[in-house]
Amino acid sequence: MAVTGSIVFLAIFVGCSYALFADQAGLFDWKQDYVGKVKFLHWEQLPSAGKKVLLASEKNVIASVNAHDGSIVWRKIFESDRRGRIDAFLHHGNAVVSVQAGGQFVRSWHAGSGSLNWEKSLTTDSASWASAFLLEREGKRDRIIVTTSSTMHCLKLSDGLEEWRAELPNSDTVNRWFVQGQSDGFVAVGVTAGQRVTVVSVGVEGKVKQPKNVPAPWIALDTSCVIMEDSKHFVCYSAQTSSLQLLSLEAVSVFIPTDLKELGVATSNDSQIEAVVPELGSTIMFRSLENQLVLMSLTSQQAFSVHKVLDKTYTAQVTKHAEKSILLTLAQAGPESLKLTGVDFTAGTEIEDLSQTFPFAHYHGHPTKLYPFVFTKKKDSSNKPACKLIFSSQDYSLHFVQKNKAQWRREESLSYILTVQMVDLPVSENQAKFEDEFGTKEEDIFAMFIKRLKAQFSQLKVFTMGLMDRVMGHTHHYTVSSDAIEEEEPEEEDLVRDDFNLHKIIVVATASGKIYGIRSHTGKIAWQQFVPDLVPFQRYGQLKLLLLVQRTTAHFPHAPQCTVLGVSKQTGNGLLISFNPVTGALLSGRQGQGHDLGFKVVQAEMLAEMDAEFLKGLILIDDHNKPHIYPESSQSVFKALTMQLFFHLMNSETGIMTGYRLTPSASELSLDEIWTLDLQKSQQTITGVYGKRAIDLVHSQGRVLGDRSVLYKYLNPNLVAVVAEGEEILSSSNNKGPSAFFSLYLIDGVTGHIVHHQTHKRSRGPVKVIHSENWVVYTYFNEKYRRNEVGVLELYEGRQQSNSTAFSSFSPPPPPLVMRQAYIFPEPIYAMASTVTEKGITSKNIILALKIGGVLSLPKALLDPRRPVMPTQETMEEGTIPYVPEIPLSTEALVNYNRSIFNVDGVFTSPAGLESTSLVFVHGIDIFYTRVMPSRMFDVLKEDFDYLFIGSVLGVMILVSFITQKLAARKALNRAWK
Amino acid sequence: MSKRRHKWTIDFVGSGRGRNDRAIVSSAENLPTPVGFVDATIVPDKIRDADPTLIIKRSWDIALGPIKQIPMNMFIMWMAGSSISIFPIMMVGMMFFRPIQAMLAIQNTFKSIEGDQAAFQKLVYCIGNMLCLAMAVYKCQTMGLLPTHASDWLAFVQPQQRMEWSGGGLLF
Repeated sequence: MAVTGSIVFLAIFVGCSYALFADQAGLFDWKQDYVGKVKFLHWEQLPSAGKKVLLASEKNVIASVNAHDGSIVWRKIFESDRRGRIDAFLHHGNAVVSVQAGGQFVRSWHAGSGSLNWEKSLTTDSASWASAFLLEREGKRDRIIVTTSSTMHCLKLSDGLEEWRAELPNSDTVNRWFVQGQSDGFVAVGVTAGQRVTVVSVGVEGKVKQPKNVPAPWIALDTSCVIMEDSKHFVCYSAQTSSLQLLSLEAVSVFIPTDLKELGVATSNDSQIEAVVPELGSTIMFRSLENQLVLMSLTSQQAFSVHKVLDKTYTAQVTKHAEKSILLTLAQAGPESLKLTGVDFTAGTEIEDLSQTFPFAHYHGHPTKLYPFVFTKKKDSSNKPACKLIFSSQDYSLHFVQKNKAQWRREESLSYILTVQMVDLPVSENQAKFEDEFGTKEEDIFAMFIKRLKAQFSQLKVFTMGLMDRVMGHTHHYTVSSDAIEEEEPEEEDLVRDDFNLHKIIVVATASGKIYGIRSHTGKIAWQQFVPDLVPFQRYGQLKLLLLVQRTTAHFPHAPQCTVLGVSKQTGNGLLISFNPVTGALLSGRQGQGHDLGFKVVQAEMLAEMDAEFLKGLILIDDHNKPHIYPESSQSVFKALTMQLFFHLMNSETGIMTGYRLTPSASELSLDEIWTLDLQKSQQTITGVYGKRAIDLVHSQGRVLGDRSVLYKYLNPNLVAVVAEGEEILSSSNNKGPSAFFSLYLIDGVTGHIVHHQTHKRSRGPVKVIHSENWVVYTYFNEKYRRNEVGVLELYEGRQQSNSTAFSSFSPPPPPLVMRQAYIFPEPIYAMASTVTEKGITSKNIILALKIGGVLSLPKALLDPRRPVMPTQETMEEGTIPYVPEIPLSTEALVNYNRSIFNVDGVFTSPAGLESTSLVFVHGIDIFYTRVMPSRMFDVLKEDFDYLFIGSVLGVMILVSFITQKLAARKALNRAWK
Repeated sequence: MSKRRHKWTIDFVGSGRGRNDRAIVSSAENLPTPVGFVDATIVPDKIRDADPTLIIKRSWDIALGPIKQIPMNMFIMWMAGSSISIFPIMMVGMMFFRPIQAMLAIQNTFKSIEGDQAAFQKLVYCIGNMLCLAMAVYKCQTMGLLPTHASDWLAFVQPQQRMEWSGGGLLF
């Protein structure tokens, strides 16, 4: 038992080897904090106005950002589901109030420190949207009115005490309320999506008057509506009919539509009512196009008239400053610059002091919303107004502008990463020359000799240049111009592969349509491209983009190529954007447009074979199950193809998996159905299909057992893991509630043969799956014991390998041995992935993003179904750790130490040039990068290796051996003379 | 005249006189040898006659030498155990080294084997060494140092070639 104990002890401390020393923190890893797309933004009022901004985002984050440099002062992250959704965000004095989850949580925060003042729960219905506003009574703003779907509450701002509450009618159907205060109470307009609006007026102390219903079948939850300043009219924009719908709140009868086409106002997908402009009376600001705003006034005949068209204006905002109403507009000034113009509303004159022109790169799209802060300059007594400006742009980025300069920006789109790839940097010019030398064969010796001389001469040149640089010290070759909008230009010698190929370009595609190249060693953005047309695939609320590396950096004269596959916003067809992942240059189509495929894509996969130009083709399946290949030139691959091609499509609406054979004929590809598999839609829903990664190599074909025989792995490259979740139908005998279950199928993607199937009862998802080598690791929640568990399946062929040279699904090995075990995992997780290395020799680790904020690197050996319950001599020989139901969570194995990351969307791993090392990229609200060594750093000397000491010892020993040799010779001679 | 100058000879008159005053006895350099003195070691014409039985016996000693080592080796093997550590490895190394060395020096050894049973004795000698070697191999086997299992060749097994390519998944 002592042996067992020591093995357990060892197992627990396996993780220790991954821990960092304190001085290594930040050496191999970096983390960047983001907030997400800004939803609400306020300039901080106290203690000094305009120094910080308070913002709330669509990623359910509230934060305070320093206006000086854009750094986060404090940040609060809430649940990523609807429990964290921020419905309203108010700021007054030194308090910030966030109304979340339809009024389930009303929280007041201290604006300076972000500490919680008070919290109140008003409802449990988080599906509907709440609204809130500050109540101004007798010049004081010390109360807030929060309206949930059923009630209206008046809360004290200081401590959250409820003054009064009013039960609102139709609470079971109304999704959101628009409320406005008026002199003798409040008017509330409730929206029931697709049905009607309910108008009710509430007295000062919460007395509800008789509600009135008006049918409005066109209205939706997110329809843009406003109550006019006079509290007598309610205006909505109906996108279906492109009309404004006006409802008089006094004589509630019916909505009066105003067709915008008759008014000559164009409409588009972006059209919505932006705001009311009380300074101009009953006027609304209406966005007609992405670069056109229209101010429309309500006439006495209950209709709208165009007051002013702000053409070529991206966004506008009305602010009050020094008793003046100022309209600030943001418009394009040049190809890469914007102009801010301030107009005094009442006088109609332009205020010169507010005008600013500043650079704005094309890859941010166009500005979408403006958050100005107008103040009076204190330095001179002229009391000139000045403006600090924050605006958000189409790519979700947040820009700050002051004094004609873009001071900082936040690339908030990096918190919407959907897909990641890591691409090798190209080899240096010299190495490329060497490769060129050995790459071509049909050359005579003399030419090759000349080439070699040239290569070595250039090597010498680079070496002397480097030496000169080091001697002279670093000199700045370039001066940063004042209006530089780029990050420092990537220097040519910088984007070069390092010795161990540890530095890569992380290519990410985000939900906003922006594609970034990030340098893995610094985390700086190397390049960025914005494709406004690109939107992700949407599947049951899940967003998906595909990023494929069609050609790597290894084929030197050919540039590497990556392709993003998404959906075109305009047409809904598939959209391909091909680019060079190192430089970011787009390859096909017009600048920032992409290649519209002309058909809807339902599935896509990259071929394994390269064509004559070393490009891997993409197979795209359209919605009529017709295959296409991109680029067309890849068609040539099929001529020399040895493999047969198969495709399987899983339709989760019908629960049917269909297998196809892909037959390349002379003219075009064809897809022939060969099998179908019904996975019982009536009982369960398919939630995921997980294949193996193409880069996941398996070095060892089997496992050595204690008796030194081999257990061969079942390595079916076509195997896919299919997860289906469902709820068990109740039987009358047990009167428990419905219990969730999930099934896991291992299906051969070529033949449709179910290799293994198992069901976990009383367990529910979300099931996270890793499928690699011959194993599947999955996590789920066990409802019976109310804990998180991790299951593992391993498949083995047995002691004999039926075919050691080839694997064909049509002549499969006998049914594999399936070994399985489940373990208790102490923490819930967001996402997980397994490490990948260059050759697959290094043992694997599982990288888990935990909900406690850690990123755990867990050895796969702990998740091994061969862990014996009773350890014997043989199992000890094999090196399996005795079974313990709990997986130990050792804090030393948290690779992100104290840099917690929350709301993680995914973990991406990539091999480095070193076999021992795997690169890890975790993305969510924050992005985090590090490297892990699952079997420790066996191929490189440690950083703390004492070269000097070892070298000097070696030198001294050589010296001593020489001296002693001489002395011994002399002594021998002397003895001979005696 | 004997050239031999013994240590205890003291030269009283000879050439050493000048440099060594203590030399008090003159060597008998110029003196006639006494009666009966023969200035030569007596070498018998034939020490003894070649005893064929003795030769055979001696040859058998040589031939059986390796076989005689076997019990000793067995004892050492048993003592060394089968764990992989420096001492048993050294033992196994020695057990390999000695017979191989003996086989390499077999020409010299065979020179000293004479007699009419020489061929048989040489064979026995070889067999003995072979037995020693076989024991060393057996020891390696028990220690698990021989690549006799499939697991020992696992690292050289090539991955299976893929015959079909498949792709797909959930519909977008």
